Parts: sequence; C-alpha cells; structure tokens
Amino acid sequence: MDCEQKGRGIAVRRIIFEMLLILSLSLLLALVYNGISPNGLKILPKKNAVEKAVHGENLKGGSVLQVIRFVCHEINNLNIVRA
Amino acid sequence: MGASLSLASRIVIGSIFLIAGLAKISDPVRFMFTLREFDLFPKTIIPFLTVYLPWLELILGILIIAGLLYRTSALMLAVMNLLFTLAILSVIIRGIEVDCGCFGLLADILKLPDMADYRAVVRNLIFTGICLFIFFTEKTVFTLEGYIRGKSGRG
Repeated sequence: MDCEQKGRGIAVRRIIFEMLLILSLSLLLALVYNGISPNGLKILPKKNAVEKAVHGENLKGGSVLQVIRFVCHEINNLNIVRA
Repeated sequence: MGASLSLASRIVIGSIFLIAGLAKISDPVRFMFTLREFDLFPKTIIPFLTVYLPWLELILGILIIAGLLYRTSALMLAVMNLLFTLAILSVIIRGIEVDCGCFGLLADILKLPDMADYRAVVRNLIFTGICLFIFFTEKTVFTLEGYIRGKSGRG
C-alpha cells in the first residue's frame, strides 16, 4: 500500500469518526432539550409533549425558542396544529 | 478567490440550515404532521425523527458557519439534501400535495414557497451542489479549526 492510499484511508476514517461525533452530539442535545433521559433512550415521552401541544398546552422549551414560537404564532395567528 | 467563495458558501448554507433547524425545533408538532403526510416512514420512527432531525440540521449549520468539522458537516448536509430530494420526488410521483416542511412556521410568515414540488427539488439540488463545493474546496478562511491549529502551533 503506497502513501497515497494510506492517506486516503486515514481521511476516510477521520470523516467517519467526525460524522459519528456530530450524530451523537445532535442526539444528545435533542434528548436533553426534550427532557428525555439519555440513560433509557426513551423517545416516546416526547409524545406526551406533542399531545399536550395538540390539546392547546404549551410545549416545554428553552426561553429563546419559546420567544420565537410565541412571536411566530402572534404574527400569523396560526394554530399550532393544522390537523 | 476559492477561499472567499467557500466562506460565502459556508455562511449561506450554514445560515439556511441553522434557521431551518430552529424553525422546526420551535414547532415540532407541525414538523411531525409533515413527516406523517410524506407517508414514507414507519409510525414508530416519526417521533424520533421529529425530535432528532431539526437538531442535526441546527448543529450542522452552526459547525459549518463556525468552521469546525466543516468539511464533514458539508458532506453530511449534502447527503441529507439528497435524501430530502428523494423524499420530495417520491411525494411528487405519488401525487400527494404536502408542504416540504423545510422552514416550518417561517415559511408562512415570510411567504416562502414551501410546497413539496419541483421547485423544492431544484432548490435542494442547488443546496447539495453548494455543500459539495464546500467539501471539495480545501481552502477556506475564518475557521475555528484554523484558529485552534494556529494556537497549538500546528498550522
């Protein structure tokens, strides 16, 4: 195996490692933001939050995002669910 | 020239995905219904995708703008865009009229075209092209990676 092939192999492994890192970081943030314990990896509790939103209650969330959501809804006077 | 163009592309594509991610995070219910309307995924996966995809877009947008792991991020965005394009094409072929769900509530407020139609396909292909340009262009400027390398004396 020449140097060029070796270098290419290292680059591919690095990209795969970085992809896994980014995917894991996103998953962790999504779980933490949605109040789901990373220990159990229970995705379904989010359903409760979604059901609450369907029934008109506010979703939990960070303050900045709540402001964005509030402004969006006030401007457009949209319902959160377009069922 | 290539470096400046790469920086401009990073800012444009990063901002688009950062905003798209925030818009979806701020209105997960709408995004969930959009995913359901696409009728492509099993019902059990939809809550997971609703929670996960917007965060992935947000993180990739931030990383591309900041210039940290930006080439890998650009490659991931290119792949994601291709998958989105395939999903939209499948909807078009099946004759289902749905929002593409790309910008959530922002699309309504800013009156952006957000239907899953051929314009969305073209837009996604342009985004894919920009992402691949960022990935294949080795030179760029103002990256956090470059700053860190400079600090550690390797760059």
